[in-house]
Amino acid sequence: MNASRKHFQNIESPRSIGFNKSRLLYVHDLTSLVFGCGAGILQLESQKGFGMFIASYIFVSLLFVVWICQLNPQKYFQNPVKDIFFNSLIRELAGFVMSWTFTYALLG
Amino acid sequence: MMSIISKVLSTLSILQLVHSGFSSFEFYQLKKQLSLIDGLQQDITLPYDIQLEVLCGLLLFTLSVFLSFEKLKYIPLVRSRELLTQNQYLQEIQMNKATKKDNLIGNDPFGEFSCMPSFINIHRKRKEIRDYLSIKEVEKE
Repeated sequence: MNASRKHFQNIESPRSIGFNKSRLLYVHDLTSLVFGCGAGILQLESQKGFGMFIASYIFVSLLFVVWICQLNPQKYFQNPVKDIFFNSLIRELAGFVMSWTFTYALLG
Repeated sequence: MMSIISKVLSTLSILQLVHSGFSSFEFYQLKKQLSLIDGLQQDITLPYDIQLEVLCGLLLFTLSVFLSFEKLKYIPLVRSRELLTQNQYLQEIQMNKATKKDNLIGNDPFGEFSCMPSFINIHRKRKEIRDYLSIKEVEKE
């Protein structure tokens, strides 16, 4: 009886998981593109540009945890650290580099 | 209200970024032309006011993205029509918590499974419609 109760307590809602992930992705997508434009306007090169990406990514993710998750990310994500900081890292890096190089070439 | 502030801020930040971008473009064009003249200092960098404008635009844009989120509100399907809120921007993932708002607003999240049209007793429905039509005809006569 206890085992089945525990089992049912651990069921997660796929609808909520999908909804939360889509909101996080929306924030990361928009900010990484605009921060990439900023890096291009500042004409940053090599390590400085990637440094700006890492700083902006961590800043936005932390702000998401504090503001949107209200310091309780485990309530909204299955694996908070992985879901918030690592799942969309490569995707956002690609977006950032694309807008960075585009703006850099346009202004330089 | 929050969405209006967010829109105003995002417009302002985009204007700032466009303006600083244009200033940066002008600066680098000028630098290219000056570099042709001998004896001038070559290591001049982008002026601080342009750098500050870019940073300010980026911060404002981030703020506007976060301000565009509003706490989730639900319209109850039963009882009063006052909006319900749980003071949350996201939905909780635990199933027993996630279905709480469905119970509060009277929504059936598994409606597509529990209301299967193929399980409707079609003969009873047809009989109901026949009876209804016959009553209407009698009323007409």
